Amino acid sequence: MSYLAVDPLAIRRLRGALADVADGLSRQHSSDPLAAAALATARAAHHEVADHWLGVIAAVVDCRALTGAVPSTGLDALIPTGLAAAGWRVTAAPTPPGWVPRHLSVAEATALGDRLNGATTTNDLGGLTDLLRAAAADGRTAAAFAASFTEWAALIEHLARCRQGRLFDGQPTAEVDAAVAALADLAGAAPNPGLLAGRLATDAAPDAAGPLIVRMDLGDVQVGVLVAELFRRRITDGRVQVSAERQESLAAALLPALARRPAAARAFLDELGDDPDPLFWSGADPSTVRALLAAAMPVDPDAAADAGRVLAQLIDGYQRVLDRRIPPPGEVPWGVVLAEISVPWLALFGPARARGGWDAGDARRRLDLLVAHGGAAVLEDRSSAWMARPAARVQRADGALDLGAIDELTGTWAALDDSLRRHHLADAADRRFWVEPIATLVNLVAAEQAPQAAVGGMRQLAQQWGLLPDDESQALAAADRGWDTRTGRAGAVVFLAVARSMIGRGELPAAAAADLARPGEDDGSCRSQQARRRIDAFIARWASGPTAERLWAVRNAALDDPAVSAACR
Amino acid sequence: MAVLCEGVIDDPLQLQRRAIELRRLATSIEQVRFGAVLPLAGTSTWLGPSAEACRHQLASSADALGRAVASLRGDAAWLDARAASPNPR
Repeated sequence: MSYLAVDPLAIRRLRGALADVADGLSRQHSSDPLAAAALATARAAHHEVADHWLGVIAAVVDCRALTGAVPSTGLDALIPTGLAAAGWRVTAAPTPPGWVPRHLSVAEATALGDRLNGATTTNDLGGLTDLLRAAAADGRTAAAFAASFTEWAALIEHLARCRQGRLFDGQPTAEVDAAVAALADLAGAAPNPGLLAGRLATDAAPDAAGPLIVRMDLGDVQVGVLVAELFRRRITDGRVQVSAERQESLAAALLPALARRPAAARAFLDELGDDPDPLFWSGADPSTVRALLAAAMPVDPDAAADAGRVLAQLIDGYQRVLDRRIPPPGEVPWGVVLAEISVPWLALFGPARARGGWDAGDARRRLDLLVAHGGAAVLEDRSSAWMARPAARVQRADGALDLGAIDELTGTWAALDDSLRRHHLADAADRRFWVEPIATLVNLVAAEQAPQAAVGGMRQLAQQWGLLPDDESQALAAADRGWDTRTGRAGAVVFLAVARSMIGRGELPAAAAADLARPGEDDGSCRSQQARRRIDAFIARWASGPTAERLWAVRNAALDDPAVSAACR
Repeated sequence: MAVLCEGVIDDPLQLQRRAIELRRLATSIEQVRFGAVLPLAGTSTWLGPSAEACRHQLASSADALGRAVASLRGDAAWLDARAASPNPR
């Protein structure tokens, strides 16, 4: 049973017009065979008007109830009671078979919004969704609904409870999600959607407000800020019952949506600022956290300042979590995840720290935390990939050396070496860590210098100097004993590459090549010291003037006293 | 275009009379002004599922009558053309 709301005067005018139309249609006639189809159409229209609608309208005009009482409770009552309150004359009417509301008038949308206030706990979610969708189907009706509906918080909290209940019972949630989506469309039609979303973020239950807010058509920054507010309230607002998230956490409901919007993810972290506790305590699963942080981290290699800010915020925040000695909920290996997002920005832990706004103490402390809390393996495994960019910059296209790139490469490795050494890595992992990136560097430097065919020559040279093991059968440990840090090896590789390049360009005599390729004589001392002595002798013998100055610059950048001291201590 | 029924006469005068008859019917249906009731049945007059169904049906009927009128005029033009032809068949 449904309703019929009428304007008494207007419905009389309609009745009169329909009666005239019915009369006119009844008078159509023709005996021409070609008129048959048109006459059939006219008869059908006459039947609709005269035999059905005039009867319906006559019953309304004559104040006769059509088929029963107007619904007074439940969803069916919302619009008729709202229309009656707005001055319409409302009577009962049969619901046409298969009828689903697709469009509402402005008056009906207003009535729905008005009467839904106070009736937000309906369990007929399918019916509610149909009505909300019908109201949201048109901008004018959506605006009319949003102007008359006020109990947004109550309705979304009811929907959130329904959703958790269905999850608890193993039931699908599509119906609830559809209702929330329709409500989000309607909220977007409010006079000030941002203000409405802000009020919900501060007043409604976070697990209820969040799904609506991320579905609303709001800007990325606003979404990120509001979601941060919801996460903050979740752990600081005493009124919030986290137990409401009995089946799905706020993090599971919201963070994937943020991860799809990098600007929103960045705004989320920015808003959390120096207190990322709400993220650590969100109970998010590892894949969700990884996706969120991957979206939030800058991708522009020149955005070191932004990366430094975000990494500092997260790593320092995690340090405070550890200091409290109360592990946060969830299974996120935070040390590993933070190391993963740090890898592209490894240089911030070394010589490039100032670009991230860090000082030497910051860089060392943060790297130590990552290494000590599960990030060591990630930093080992992925540092080779990181190296490609600075290694490619070691020598410019015109053959000149980029001392900054050399410093970044070797200095970052020195920082990593130092931290890993102090955290007692296992021997096997240690050896792999020393050797594999050096091999990568040799390939990279050689490829920068010469056609691919020359890479083999660079590898051979590195082996002559003991920088790389000759073959698989050679014990890695033997090399490790002599080369105590990767920094020393990297410095020697860079020097070899530069000297080889200078010989190739005629800046050094061709005879120097033989000296460079001469097998080293291991006197048992630290290999970094041996390498530096040999380099010093090479420069003194073969180079002079500007050539010598350039080689000394490389030697000083790559194998300076602190690097050699660290390697040989 | 409609097909001439059996027993159609090729007489141009007859064809012209038929065309006149079809145009008369088209004009007569137009004069009913069925479309004029649509605004009166709008959402300022009545609301509810039945009202929505009524608006939908009235709009469909108005469209159908419009097409019927156009078809009548098209057939009338075709009959006129045949009447003007030297050899109508």
